Amino acid sequence: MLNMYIKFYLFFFFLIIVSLQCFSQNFIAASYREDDLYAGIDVGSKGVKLSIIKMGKNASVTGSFVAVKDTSINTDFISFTPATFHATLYAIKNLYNYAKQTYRISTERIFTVVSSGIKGQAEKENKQDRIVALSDSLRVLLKEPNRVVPVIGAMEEAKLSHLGIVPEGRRYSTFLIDIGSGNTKGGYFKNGNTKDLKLFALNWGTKTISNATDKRLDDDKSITNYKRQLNRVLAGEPNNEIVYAVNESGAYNMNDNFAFSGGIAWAVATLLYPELAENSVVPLKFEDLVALNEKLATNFATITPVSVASSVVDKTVNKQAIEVEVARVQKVFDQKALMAGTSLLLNIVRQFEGTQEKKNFFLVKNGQVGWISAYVTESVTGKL
Amino acid sequence: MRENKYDKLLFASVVLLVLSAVMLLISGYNIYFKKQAIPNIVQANITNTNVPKLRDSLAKIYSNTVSNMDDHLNLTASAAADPDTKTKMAELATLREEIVALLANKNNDADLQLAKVKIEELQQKVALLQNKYTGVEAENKRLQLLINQLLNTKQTTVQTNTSVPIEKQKVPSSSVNNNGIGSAGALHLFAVAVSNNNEQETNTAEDAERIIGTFTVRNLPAKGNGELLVVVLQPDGKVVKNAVWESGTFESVEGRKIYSRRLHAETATEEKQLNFSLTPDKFLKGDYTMQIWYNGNMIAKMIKTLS
Repeated sequence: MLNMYIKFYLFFFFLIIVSLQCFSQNFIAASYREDDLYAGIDVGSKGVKLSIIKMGKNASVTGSFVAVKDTSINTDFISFTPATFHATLYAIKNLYNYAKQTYRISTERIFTVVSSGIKGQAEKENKQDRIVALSDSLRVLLKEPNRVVPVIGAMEEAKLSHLGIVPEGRRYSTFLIDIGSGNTKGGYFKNGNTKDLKLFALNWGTKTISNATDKRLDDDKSITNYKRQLNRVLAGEPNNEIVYAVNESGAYNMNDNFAFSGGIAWAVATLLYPELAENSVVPLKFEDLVALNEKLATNFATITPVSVASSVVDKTVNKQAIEVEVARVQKVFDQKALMAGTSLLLNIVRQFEGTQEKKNFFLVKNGQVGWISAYVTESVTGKL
Repeated sequence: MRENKYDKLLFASVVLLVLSAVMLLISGYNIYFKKQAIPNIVQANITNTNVPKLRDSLAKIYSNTVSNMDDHLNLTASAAADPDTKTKMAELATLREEIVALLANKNNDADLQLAKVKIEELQQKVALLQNKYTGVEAENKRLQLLINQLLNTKQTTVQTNTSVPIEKQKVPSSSVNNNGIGSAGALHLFAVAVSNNNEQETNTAEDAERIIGTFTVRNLPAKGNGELLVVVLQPDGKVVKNAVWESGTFESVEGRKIYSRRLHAETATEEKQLNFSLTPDKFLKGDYTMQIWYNGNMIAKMIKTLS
């Protein structure tokens, strides 16, 4: 008799555990606790990137997530050699263990994804088997046979970035544009639902503009000549492409907000609005961007970490943190790179600066981790 | 005796089993009845090659779109006064005129394709406006009701008023348009606690979950474009920033400052009440200061103390 009771009790206990598991999956995970941490490991063209984020209260509504850690290891998977394959595999493993051990993130909260850049190149070179081999090897290495390693397409990546960065209240009125080093891409949800994203793409990014300008310099490497040649580069093919892409997108009429992400957006936001160093998204005034663009060419020496920090009058703002961030900007971008990126940004923003209808412009500083917040949200709510 | 003891254990197990069944049912319900946030736009299906039928079909779709727009796009006076809305409503009107003209022109069948494109554009614009204003207006209405309720409670309850409008005497009221500053009055700042979906005012930082503010403005000078900036300072002097998309910087007579919220009012109107809400990450004990800035000048200020 006693044995039967024990069996019954064990059976009930099992059911309770199962039901609690289901309950927590649907409710607790969906509502996010204050200390919820998630990690995303993204295998990209240049390397493997780890983003650790903390989801804020009502993250999907307010767009508030905090990028806790953002780091990468260059592995050049896109060359598809045995050496880069091995390097990529162990980079994922190391970053996975780092997230698991240092931040104590449980394995089901660590997401691994292969990005659209890899997918496109693999299709071009007929190397899709390398992606499959990477996923299989990873499962063995991590001893997780059920680990999912999805390959995200360009459209999916753009959608996830939009969903992750733009809060719900602005979802259908915001055009998100990511200015990368080699290209510019983005889009907006044109039909009032998240199924149809109108894609926007340019073959120009900060580095390609800078490279095209460098080629025109000849012997005169001065900033004055760089500025002159930069204007000529931008006035040529990039401008035609920008005007065409903007008109074709129909974005001006359909959006009130225009948000720009990418390294140059972070750099401009840091230099223009140091008071908002803690904000991941800052509003941008067109006239401020024009002034900065001019200052970069004519008065760059005055833009130092100390001068930017000391321009802040608010005593509660951490000026030391501003100095560190401005120094980071100047480490990533030299004067010419800043000029090239800012001019490209200005040329795109100018297309949306209306005389009759005022549009809202924003700079997104942590766009690179935007997709993971959406991926997490979509995963835990079962939409993926 | 032993049997009796295990009966109790069995009873406890059954209770837990029922509880788990309820939780499973709730989980199942949640999965099955997922809300669809935004209805899809009705797509104009005009693959029909029969031109008169096609024209009728388009006319019907157009008529439904306009009817839907008239039924659901009831803009309040404040929304209608918004310059962006005015521009968008003007665009809609132009688009409607174009579609009507295209559908009316029975001599040119090629116009039907253009009419189809324009109807789809109209549908998209109407959907976007609906998305924008149903959310914003609903939140405004909810906020207004809550503020009315909080103000009524304040008037009818004898209590120590911890929110003392200060420096209100400095706010010019009659010389507004002469000095180009503007004026604000009837400032109220509430800390609100939420329990069982019921929001009530609280004066303790520990219970507070949201800040709700309200004030009225009148005769704002045109210089400044009706853009009011609300700065709410925490006891430690830091600006309360809501969601990151809501706060920014502005130029003031004291240098560049950070604002908590940006609000808009028509200039030169007699009186307009404006409301806002903020959800800080944490509340501190001490004085919360609300400042209203217009055209670079502070036009009103008040303090709310939380214990």
